[in-house]
Amino acid sequence: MSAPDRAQGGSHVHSLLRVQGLTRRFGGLTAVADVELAVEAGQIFGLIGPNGAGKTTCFNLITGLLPPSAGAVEFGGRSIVGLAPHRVTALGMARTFQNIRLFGAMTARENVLVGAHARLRAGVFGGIFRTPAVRREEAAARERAVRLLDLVGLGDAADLPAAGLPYGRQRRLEIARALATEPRLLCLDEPAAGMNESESRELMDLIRRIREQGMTVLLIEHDMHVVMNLCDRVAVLNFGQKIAEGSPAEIQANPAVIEAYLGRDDSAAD
Amino acid sequence: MSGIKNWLAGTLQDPRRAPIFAGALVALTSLFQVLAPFNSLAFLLVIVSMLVVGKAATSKWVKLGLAVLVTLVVIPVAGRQNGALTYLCVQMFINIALALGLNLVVGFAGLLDLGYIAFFAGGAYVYSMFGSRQALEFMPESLQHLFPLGGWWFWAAIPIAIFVAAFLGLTLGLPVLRLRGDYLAIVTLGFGEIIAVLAKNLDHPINLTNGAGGIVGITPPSLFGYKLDTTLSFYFIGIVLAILTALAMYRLERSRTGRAWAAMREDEVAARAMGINLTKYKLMAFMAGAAFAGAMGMLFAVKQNFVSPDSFSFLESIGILAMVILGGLGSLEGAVVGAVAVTVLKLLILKDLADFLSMTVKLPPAFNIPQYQPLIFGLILIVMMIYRQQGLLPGRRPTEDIAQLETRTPKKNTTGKSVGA
Repeated sequence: MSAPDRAQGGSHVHSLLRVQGLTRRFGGLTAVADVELAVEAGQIFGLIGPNGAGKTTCFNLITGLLPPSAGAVEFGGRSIVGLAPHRVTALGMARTFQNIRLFGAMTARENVLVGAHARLRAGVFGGIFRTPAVRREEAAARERAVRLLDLVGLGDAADLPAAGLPYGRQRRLEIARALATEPRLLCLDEPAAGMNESESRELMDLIRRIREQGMTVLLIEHDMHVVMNLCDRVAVLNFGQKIAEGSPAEIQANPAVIEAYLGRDDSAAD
Repeated sequence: MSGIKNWLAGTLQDPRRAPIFAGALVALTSLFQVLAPFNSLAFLLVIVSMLVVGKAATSKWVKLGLAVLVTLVVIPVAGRQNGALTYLCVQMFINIALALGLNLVVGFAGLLDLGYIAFFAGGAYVYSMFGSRQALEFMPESLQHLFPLGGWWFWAAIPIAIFVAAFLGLTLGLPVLRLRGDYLAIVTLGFGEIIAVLAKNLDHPINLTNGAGGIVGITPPSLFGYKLDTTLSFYFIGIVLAILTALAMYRLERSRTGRAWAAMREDEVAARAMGINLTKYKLMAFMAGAAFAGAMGMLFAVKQNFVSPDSFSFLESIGILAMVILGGLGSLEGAVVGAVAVTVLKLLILKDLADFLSMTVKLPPAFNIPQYQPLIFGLILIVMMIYRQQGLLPGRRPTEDIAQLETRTPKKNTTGKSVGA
């Protein structure tokens, strides 16, 4: 592996996220096969594909929750294969989960504060003795948590246990929690799943606002309406392989995609 | 009955009546306790009155004042005549700190530890070995004139005992990092046994622990030349250590570390994705939990003036776990109340009950009622687990039983009623 390029963001030398030859086998099954992706800073990048196409596995490989069988993942010009997930998070990559994984017993505020973990420094002794530095840090983190909860529209739910929130609000809380890690790249796994039309419209607004704040977004999504309206670039997975990549318009016109995915649904193919 | 209950609830919530009621109750029970120091019922009433004070809607200064009155005046005064009362309270403070420490590991971090007493033993033995004539058995001759250590060493030994116990926590934590649930429980259980077996067998080739015979004649602590060797002095040391433990736990729970533990307990995958280093925080949970036990072990050693492997059996670990679960897993108030309840039950109520039965019921002498204390204790625990699984004072967190603790089902039943406050 060559020496990592530490140029700021590496934006014009490197893509923010660069995935090459990414492969993951589970026994005899190849869930992800030789996938290439390049996400540029500031993009909203969509990863779509039919059920079981390997999208979530791809996410798990990129964020370090699963080790890849083969392939390279570079983030900000630096290889992150083999890094523990908490290190990847510290480098500036955050994610949400397809099947919501909030800390159910903790309040919304506490969930967001856990998200800020990698950006705080207080240790056991700091926690016990509450030094002035720890107090300042904690106060700032709490203030930021409130702002993030407001951003996703959960300002009124700060002290409610996460498990008790309605489904759509849980999804948004997961986004707030991921934002608290102060990511450069935000990976959203089916953020609009189970949302009605007005909720998913709000969600699209939120994702656009997040991008305006300078973050890059990589999202897996089933809702074609969301993908086509939101994404700058879309990659399509089928049976673990990337079968197409391009602008939403190109993807909609791509015969391979229509056959593999959109072709099943005539209305979406138009 | 419900009329009394309503009146009581109303009074406790009324900010004008509550302090008067709580004060009167404490004054009454305190008077009873001082006038009848040998009456177990009086002590129970004092404890109940303290619980009522805890629930009353008054400022924390009123509560603190009443608590100070009871712990620093009433109990010591009653204890002047009834030494057993002070002795019981020392054990109670030790148990409170132990329950709080184990609650950190099991309740906060969700790691089931069945060998917690090992860390307590570590602290007790570290001080006993050097603070008694036992040191002459294994220290080189040139250093023997220093031992047994003087009483002021007790204070210096507290951080050492904490460090040793934390190190023991690390040695337990490292091999069990990858284990969960039943497997974790079994290894921690084995660890507790290892420490007990070590204590029993480290009398050869060098006599470190004096084996099953135990170590006697442990130097009591001294302060400014005064020997603190009375039960009352242990009582005050116990109070200070228990309060410091509770304060540390309260702050830890609300710190970055405490949140990381809670996140780890709730969902390990999500915790990792949020930047939490699971390895580090699991080890820290074992070490921090152990550290508190180490300090209390020292107090236990000087209180008993004797340590032996029998004091650190598996049953003791289970006893502390019972306090934590009885009180309400994951809740600080719960751990304290559980420790108080179990201590009072074991050392006071069951004892009195046994005495009472052996006096009133004419049973054959082979039928030794005091021996049936564990049976009654077990029955109470079973009934408790059937009717109030979440413990006496569950935390505001949804409670999880031991089985749920490790399976981490994504859907949790939320008991959080009015969490907004």
